[in-house]
Amino acid sequence: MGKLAIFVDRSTIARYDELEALLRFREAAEARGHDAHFLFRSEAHKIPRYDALFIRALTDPMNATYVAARVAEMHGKPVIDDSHSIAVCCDKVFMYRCLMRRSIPIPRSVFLDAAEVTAQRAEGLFAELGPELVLKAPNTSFSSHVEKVSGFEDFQRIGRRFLHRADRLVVQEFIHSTFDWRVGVLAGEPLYACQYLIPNDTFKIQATVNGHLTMAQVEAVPLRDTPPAVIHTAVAAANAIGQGLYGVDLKQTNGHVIVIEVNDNPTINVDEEDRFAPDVYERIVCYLLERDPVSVPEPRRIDDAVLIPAGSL
Amino acid sequence: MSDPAPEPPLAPLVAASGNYEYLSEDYYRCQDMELSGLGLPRPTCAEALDAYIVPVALEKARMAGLAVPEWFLSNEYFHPPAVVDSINPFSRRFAVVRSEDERAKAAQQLTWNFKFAMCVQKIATTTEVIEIRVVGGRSEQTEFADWASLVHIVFAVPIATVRLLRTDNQIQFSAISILPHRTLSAQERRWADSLAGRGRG
Repeated sequence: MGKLAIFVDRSTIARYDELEALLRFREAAEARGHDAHFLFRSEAHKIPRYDALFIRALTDPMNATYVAARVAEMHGKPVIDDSHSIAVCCDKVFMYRCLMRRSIPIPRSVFLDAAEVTAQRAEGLFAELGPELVLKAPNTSFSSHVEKVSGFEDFQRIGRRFLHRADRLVVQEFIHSTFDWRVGVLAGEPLYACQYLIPNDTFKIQATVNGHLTMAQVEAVPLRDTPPAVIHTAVAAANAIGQGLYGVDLKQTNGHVIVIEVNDNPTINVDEEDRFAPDVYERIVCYLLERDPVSVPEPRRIDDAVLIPAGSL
Repeated sequence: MSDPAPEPPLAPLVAASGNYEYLSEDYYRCQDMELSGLGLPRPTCAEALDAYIVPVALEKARMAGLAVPEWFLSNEYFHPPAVVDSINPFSRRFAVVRSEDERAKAAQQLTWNFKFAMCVQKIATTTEVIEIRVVGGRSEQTEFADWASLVHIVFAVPIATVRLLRTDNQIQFSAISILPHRTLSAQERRWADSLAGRGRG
């Protein structure tokens, strides 16, 4: 019997479908003889008392979720989301580079720094990647800092705005689709699949249009009815990041499957992601509480160092 | 014909800027090196995050055997006196809060009106907050030479400002932050430069 801490915040429990899913995680743990308790960020110091940690709050290396993940890891506790997955998935530059390193198909992508957000560079990118480009701030979530541009002025204006949040930004070719696949993957195994139907008045799964929040409709799809290429590519993409829990977004275009992004801390709502995967709760509980304990690497010391001079950075 | 012997791993790299803040150009420089396969930078991105995120640094230091104050995360309330750091994606600030009069304003500012968390370190009324400059495990503030070496070993950040808390004769680790290379003294620059030669060969 184990003790599971579910790390939540106010926003996690504000909506019925998220709260109901949290209760199902607790029920799944209890059904297998475990205890599950909800912890808020002011209770992070209690994490070492538990056997595993499941983070259900907006992750970011700069907020309390990363603290929770690292505290759990330093005490040898299994954790979803682990700190590496948070650091990679919350930084789209890092995330896409991990995918590129494993040759996972993604939209053609370029990473720019401030000096490169110029009309001249824009001209080259429009010629290379197409008449519409997608700009992404590295630390966007829920598509909040993702914009489509088709002119030099917008390219520079939005690019400079995004560079207030980070010193690099992502520029990608635009790929049209009416929906994105979302495949949930846990430890290299597919968990569930759905389609996020993109609203007509935007190209994103979530956007503010004329002051109103518009969100993708979620259509769950049984894994057996999901194209094998979608599942195979999603699992490969997740494996390029780590062995935790991920929500992989993909598009099918011209017979190809392309990964749009890999998310840590994927949304799991009742009657949506779990509709054809009612075992999602139990599988996550088992992953956290019924595996061998993880090991924590020792602190390393600097030896054998080569200097990168400050002026060369 | 047998496979050629594998190449020996290249020496790890140290970025000498002294600023490895999350999503900064030099953080990305470390990321570039990590992903290049040419050797691990020092710090790695993970090491930089461990060092600069105050509660993570406190726990890492404590587990490595360094003295640290009692700490906790809070949304709003804490008992002064305390050293309080923001845990906020958009702001990195800290305050030394000595009295109840200062508490509410500090909490509101550091949490951005209670939206984000803050890390509270309990201190005594007599606690002195000290910052030392550490380059390659050495400090010109010779009184703290041992601390400079220990913090360097635990965190692997080659150039850093280290915050310590001194209460009577006891010293505790409190935080690590940037130390821009351009602010280094001549001696500190020599130490930084010497990091280059140490690992070759």
